[in-house]
Amino acid sequence: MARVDSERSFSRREEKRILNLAAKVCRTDFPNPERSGCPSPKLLRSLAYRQIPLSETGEFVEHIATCSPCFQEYWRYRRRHKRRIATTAVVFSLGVLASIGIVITGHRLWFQTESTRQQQALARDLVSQQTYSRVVFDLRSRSVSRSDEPREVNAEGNLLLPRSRVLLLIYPPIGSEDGIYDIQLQLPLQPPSVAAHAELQMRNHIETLEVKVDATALTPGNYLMRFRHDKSGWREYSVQVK
Amino acid sequence: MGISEPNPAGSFDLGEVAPFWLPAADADGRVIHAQVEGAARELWPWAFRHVQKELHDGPRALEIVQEVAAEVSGRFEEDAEIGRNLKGYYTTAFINCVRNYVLREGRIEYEGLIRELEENYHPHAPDWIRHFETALSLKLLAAYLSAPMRRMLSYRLSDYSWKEIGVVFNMTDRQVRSRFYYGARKAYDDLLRDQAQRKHSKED
Repeated sequence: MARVDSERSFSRREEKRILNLAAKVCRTDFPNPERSGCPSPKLLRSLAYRQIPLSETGEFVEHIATCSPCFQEYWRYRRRHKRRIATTAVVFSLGVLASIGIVITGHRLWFQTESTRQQQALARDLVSQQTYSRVVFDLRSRSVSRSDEPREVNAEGNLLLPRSRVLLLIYPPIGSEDGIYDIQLQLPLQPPSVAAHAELQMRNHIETLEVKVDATALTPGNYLMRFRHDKSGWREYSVQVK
Repeated sequence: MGISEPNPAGSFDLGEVAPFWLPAADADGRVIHAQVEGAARELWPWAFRHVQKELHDGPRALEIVQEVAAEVSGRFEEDAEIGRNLKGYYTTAFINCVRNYVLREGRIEYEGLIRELEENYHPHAPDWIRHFETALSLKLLAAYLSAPMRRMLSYRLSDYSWKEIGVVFNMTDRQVRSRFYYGARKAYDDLLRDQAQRKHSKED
């Protein structure tokens, strides 16, 4: 108990009440209209603005507490100083807040720009992924062969198919019948790696079979491309996948 | 001077201040130091006004100045350090002297206040501070504060933080706050004890 009591001091409320009372006494109980023994207004202001080292304040502080005009004048300066500090603090805080706001907005804009950039790049990638390069197999002048057995028939040279997404435009030999065609791409004696259907249509005044082929997964090598109309025999061509 | 009522708050009586005069030694032969005489001369209008306000008897100020100047001179001879803040020391001594007269002469309002304090006083009451609800009661308490406690109070009144006051007194802020609390509490105890003694001596 004694230990607790030895740590006792005024509570904030008690201290405030005592100080208010004491300030009331100081404001009125020490009239000094002649200002005898008073420090200059400049000194009072310096004291209120805390421009005088603490070690040199004793004399003035004691005088202020025993001279009502000085006490009042000192507190005018002191209030002004505190107001100025408060205003500076508010302005500084607003400045900091504004700076933070600018930084956040800047970051957001940067992120947005970056995000947009990334999205655009992604879109480009997607588009590029979805973009098919055009490859034309012009078979109009090539010899036609119909067979159930795979064999190389186009002695004019291999057709080249890149290992990518390809919009394959096949110009079948002249005289090919209209209608739906089965199209296959396969390694010799292997099941088809690619199988598709396409309708023979006029494209730029040329009979064309148009088919999208994803050849990215194909292993490079010599393939056999064949197509047939309805249930008629296969027309076969050698294709080199690179 | 004909002044019997205190001035309204914030206003001061601008009546004429009596001329200053101080002998080289008081009635008991105590010599008045030249520097103390200088401080007393400079602070004379203030001292006059203070006596006028507290005792409603301006002309008596000269008598009190003489008493205080002799006492301060004696202290000054013993401890030259006082010279560093002679005016402050003199002012405090003068205020204390005037308050002692006020208490000794038993002004009606003070007596009533003391009675009230006594009735409510309990030696270990944790809320003794509650009794100081008027400026008058605080003035009464201040008269019993020791010089360091008065200085602490002056610093606090000038809006210095306990931390800064701690630096002045070479203590931590907690220590200095605690010291002030106990100084005030001691002043309160001394005040009541003195008043009780005074009352008994009157009855005898």
